[in-house]
Amino acid sequence: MYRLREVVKKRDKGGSAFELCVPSLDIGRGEFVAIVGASGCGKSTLLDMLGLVLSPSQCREFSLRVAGQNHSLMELGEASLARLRRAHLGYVLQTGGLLPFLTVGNNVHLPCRLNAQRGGRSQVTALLERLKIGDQAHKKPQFLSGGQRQRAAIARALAHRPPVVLADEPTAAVDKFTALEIRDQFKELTAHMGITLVMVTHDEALVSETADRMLTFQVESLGPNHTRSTLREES
Amino acid sequence: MAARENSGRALVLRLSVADLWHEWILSLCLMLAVAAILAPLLLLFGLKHGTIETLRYRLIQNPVNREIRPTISRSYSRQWIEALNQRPDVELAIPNTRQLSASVLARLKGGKQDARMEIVPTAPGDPLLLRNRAPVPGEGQCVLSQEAMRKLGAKTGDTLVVTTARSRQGVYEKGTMELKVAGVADPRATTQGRLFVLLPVLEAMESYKDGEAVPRYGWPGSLPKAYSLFDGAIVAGTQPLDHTLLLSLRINTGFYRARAMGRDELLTTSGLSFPEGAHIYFLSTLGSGGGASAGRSSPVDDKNLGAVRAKLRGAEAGLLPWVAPQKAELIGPDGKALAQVELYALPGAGDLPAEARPAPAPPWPAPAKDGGPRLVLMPAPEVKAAGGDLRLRLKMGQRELVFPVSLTSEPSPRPGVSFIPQELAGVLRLGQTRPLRYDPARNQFLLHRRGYAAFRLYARGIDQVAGLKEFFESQGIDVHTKAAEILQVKELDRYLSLIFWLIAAVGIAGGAASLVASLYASVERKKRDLAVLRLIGLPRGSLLRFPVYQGVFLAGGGFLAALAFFGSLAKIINTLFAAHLHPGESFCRLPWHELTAALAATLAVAALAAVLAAWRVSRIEPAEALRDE
Repeated sequence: MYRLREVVKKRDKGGSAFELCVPSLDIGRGEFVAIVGASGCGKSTLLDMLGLVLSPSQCREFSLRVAGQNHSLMELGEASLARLRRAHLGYVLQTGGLLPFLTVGNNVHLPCRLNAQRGGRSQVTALLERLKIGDQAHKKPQFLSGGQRQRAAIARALAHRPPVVLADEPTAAVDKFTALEIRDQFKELTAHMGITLVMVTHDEALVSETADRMLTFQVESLGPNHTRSTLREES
Repeated sequence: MAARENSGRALVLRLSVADLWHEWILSLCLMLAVAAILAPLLLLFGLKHGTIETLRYRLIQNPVNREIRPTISRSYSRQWIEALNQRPDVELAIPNTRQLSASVLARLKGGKQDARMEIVPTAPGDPLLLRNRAPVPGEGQCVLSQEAMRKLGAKTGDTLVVTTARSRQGVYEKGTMELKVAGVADPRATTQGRLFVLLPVLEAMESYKDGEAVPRYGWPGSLPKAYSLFDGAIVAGTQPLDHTLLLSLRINTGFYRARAMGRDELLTTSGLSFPEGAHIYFLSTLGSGGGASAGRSSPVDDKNLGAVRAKLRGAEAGLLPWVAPQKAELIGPDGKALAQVELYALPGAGDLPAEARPAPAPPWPAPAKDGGPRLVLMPAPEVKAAGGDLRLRLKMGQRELVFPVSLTSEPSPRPGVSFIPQELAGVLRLGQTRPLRYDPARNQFLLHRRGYAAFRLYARGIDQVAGLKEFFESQGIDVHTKAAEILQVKELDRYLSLIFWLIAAVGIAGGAASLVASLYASVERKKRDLAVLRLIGLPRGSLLRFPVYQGVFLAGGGFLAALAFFGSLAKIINTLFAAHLHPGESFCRLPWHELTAALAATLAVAALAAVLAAWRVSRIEPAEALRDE
């Protein structure tokens, strides 16, 4: 699905330069890819690039193949990227990223409505049932526990059946037991639906057994205020 | 695709409303903040519109401020005043009589106490009455001023007895008429005791004061009989006149020149043939040559002739008046013109010595005492007229004078010369200088009224007063106007408007700033939600609509709240001041179009503020907003 060659993202934060290098990365259909690393190593930056909300500073190739079409992402404008995000990507944010003013059911249904998908409702109900939060559908997110909220976020990311789901520390805000539960449900659902899952986490132990692939970073210092982080795959 | 766009739009609308509903307390606070800005502004505009417009309207629309009257009385002809009425800057011009004729005594019918009133002519459309809640009186009716109503103790529907008085040949006489009160004008029309009546009533009173009879009201008096004017005189005698005497004939007699004239020249001039041996002299007036038109001449009357007669006393000569020939049309019974005739005056023998009398001699008898001139025509020989009713028509400037005439059996001896009695010629000559009418009942020529001593005119608006004043002054007529006061009112109006707009501008600027601040803060607070929406693929354009819809909703809700506040306060204010208001006036009021404009302005400012804020937010990379925790 993703094909990245010599992708570099440079960032300047508070006078110190940071450089993320991805020499080569291919992510295939249905894979569960975990991106692991300490904070500040650039895993969120990579996820944002994969999530089409951050563009690389330079690259040889950065493309996404969805629905039988190859999109060279550097050449697309904001509107086209938004369309790709809407139709083909799902997101799970650290704290869910649910809209506080919509009920859980409506939050999960929102991607379907954005994509003008008909009959999304039953799918939403089924998803929530499978995530065991079917009885929370009519509540506003603020009345849910952390774990329930993250499950709802997962439901929303899957609702419109995107080929790719990106998750940014989906279990960071819940206890260990719940985290494991959520991880398993998430993996099971994506595998069942044939969805590629890219998950960012600092907790290597959480994903080391379940992920198909593990990506980490090698951080090197190029000067007093200059850090370079290079992606490498653990086998 | 379009359906998808539409559903997207509806979706954004639903999302923005859901958000407002979710934070309903905050939304309410924002609406109240907007209402707090708008309500005083609406009230300010309501007061400006109500108070100032009402006062200004009263000031500007008060017809008294648009009134123009001449300062000196002159004779203004009816045509001239009619022409004023045709001007686009004139609403109405009403002729007025002499001030003296306007003073009357009035009392309630059956009452005892007379009150002195000024009587003022009015006409349909008179703004002084109509704008002061009084009708224009009809025939036999009058409208009272407030003061007149108080003095007379009369009310609408009562009948008044109005008395006008005159002194004729030392005898004090009174004429009375009854007038029904048709209405009472507001006090602002005039503070004096006045009766407003139609012009003919005043014309009748003026005629009565002049000693004339007014049959309509049964008032006795004389008739304004037409008198004669002449363009010259012929002195004829058996002996030549002494040169000194001849010269003296033009001193203090109104004549300009006196000279001997041959029989042939006189024949051309007067159509009369004098016997040989008669000594003939011609006295001409200024501007009247032999047979010349009487265009700019100054005619003489009987008094002038009397002065010449007095000087001729003792001389063997007599005097005949002369009128320059006048053109006329002879009209047949069918109303068609039969012939053009030139009318020469045919005098009687007068006091001429028998040997100096001209031919032809008039075949008609001398006029009866107190009767009018005989209406006879001795036609020129070429004039062919069958029997039946014949009339003569003379054009006198823009007027026309038509009267019946009978023909003598013998035609005039000279071609082109038709004779009429000298008295008739004199009267027709008068008709060239002032209006006459033929009264068939009395078989008399009566003087028409010369003109009007004054007029009362209303400019169409106060802006036209200055221009009209200039027009009248260019005509040599000094007028009374309220031009100076109008200037003051306009300046006051301008300053008041300016002050109001200054206050309003500050209020609007402050209001807009506060609205922008509130909405900006609200958008800033929602930065994360907006970023999430963008992340899951809401296009940027739709994202901008989210805060715009919210801003419009908040501002609209605030406007409604402000409107409710304004409405109740306006009602209280208007109720408190109801006693000072005419029906239909209010102190605090906003017309619909201004309310709509205010709403549109509020929504526009709100939308603009929201777009600015949202645009700034959407420029932040969604990633940054997402990590910002």
